[in-house]
Amino acid sequence: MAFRDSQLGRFGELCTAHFGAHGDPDTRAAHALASNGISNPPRPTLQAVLGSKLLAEDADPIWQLWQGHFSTILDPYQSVGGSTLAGECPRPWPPQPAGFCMHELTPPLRYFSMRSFVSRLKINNVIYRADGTPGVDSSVQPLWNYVLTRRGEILVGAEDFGWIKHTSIAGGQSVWAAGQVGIENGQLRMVDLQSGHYVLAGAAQITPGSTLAVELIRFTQRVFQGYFNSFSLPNLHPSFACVWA
Amino acid sequence: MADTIVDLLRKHYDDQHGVANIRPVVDKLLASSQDPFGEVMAAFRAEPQWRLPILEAMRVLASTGHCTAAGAEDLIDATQLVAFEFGIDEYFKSVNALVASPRAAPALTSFISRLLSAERNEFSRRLAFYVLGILLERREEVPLDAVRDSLTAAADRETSYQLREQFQELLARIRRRHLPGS
Repeated sequence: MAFRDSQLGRFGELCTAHFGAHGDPDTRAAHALASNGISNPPRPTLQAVLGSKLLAEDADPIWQLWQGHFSTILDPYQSVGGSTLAGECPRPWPPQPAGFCMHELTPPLRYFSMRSFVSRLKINNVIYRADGTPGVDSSVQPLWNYVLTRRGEILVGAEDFGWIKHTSIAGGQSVWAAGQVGIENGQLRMVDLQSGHYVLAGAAQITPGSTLAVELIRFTQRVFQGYFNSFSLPNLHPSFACVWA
Repeated sequence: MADTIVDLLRKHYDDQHGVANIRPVVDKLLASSQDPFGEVMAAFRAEPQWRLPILEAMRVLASTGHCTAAGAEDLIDATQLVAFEFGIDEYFKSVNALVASPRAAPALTSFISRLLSAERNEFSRRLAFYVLGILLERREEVPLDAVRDSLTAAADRETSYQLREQFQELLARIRRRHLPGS
């Protein structure tokens, strides 16, 4: 399940102490949340917890197809030096040691798989700048961030309270790409690579204009196009593009 | 006007999610003010507790061409104050906004100079190359002669092999711009 790489997966790890060991951290987390799980106050069912965010993909044949397709996009990217991006918080947390990130400990309030998110493309947040180029307008709320997990899932979360960052969505796990989502008239018009934690500061070591940056842009664009195509999602803008910023 | 901008920010504040929707504030300013960037800058100085959303408004105005080269210097100074509190990624957001405006982008070369002349840590050096990379990608017309030597020296000081290679790649692009016929 997708949240193995995410905040729910992290929660699942914590649940081990209370609900016993289970092979999959997502399942542990779901058991803690669901009404028919180990803990049972009035809560949604296990399937509802996973299904509401379209994350029960291990039983989904299209997910299996996407996994195969994702590999065909990933392999050439890795062959030119592309690798996962480790999170690094762009701000210090005194007196915590270097490398500590409070954001990654905070679960997002609003988060979805991209398959679920495409029915929620309600805002218009693409801005046409002075030089005529489109960009994600981060002055429009909610500001939707995405991460591309190691398994090839695209998770989207709102940057609520200015606190929910990319590492919050990914639970601090490394990712293939991260940035912001640009929506225009109900379609996904663009994504960028503006993530302080994963791309810009610290561990990623990718400078815009370099060959590696160009490859990351190309790879991310191909993943989004392949994902929308594999899951037959209708609302990818015909001019969809990934840009650095 | 600072009061009005803060009133507008309050009006567009979503307390359920802890965010201010800044775009309507900017739209209102654009419709009513002769100098929206100057007014937002004044509000930034007057209202320390609203600095983060006001800086975002400055970026929107800069990226849509409502900021001069002098205004760009103010935006960078404002970014420095906000980054101290909220993190160094604030610099990248401001650079991205300025580079989108042919009017404001030339100020980024003096920002590179400032970063390298007071290169206090590796972040200053890496940010200088971030600015260089994005200028090469987006604003080819901006002259870089004044910063070429200091960038070359800074690249030699880079300790990460991966980054040093990328810096050399960018410097080679500057050199190619100066070849006859290019």
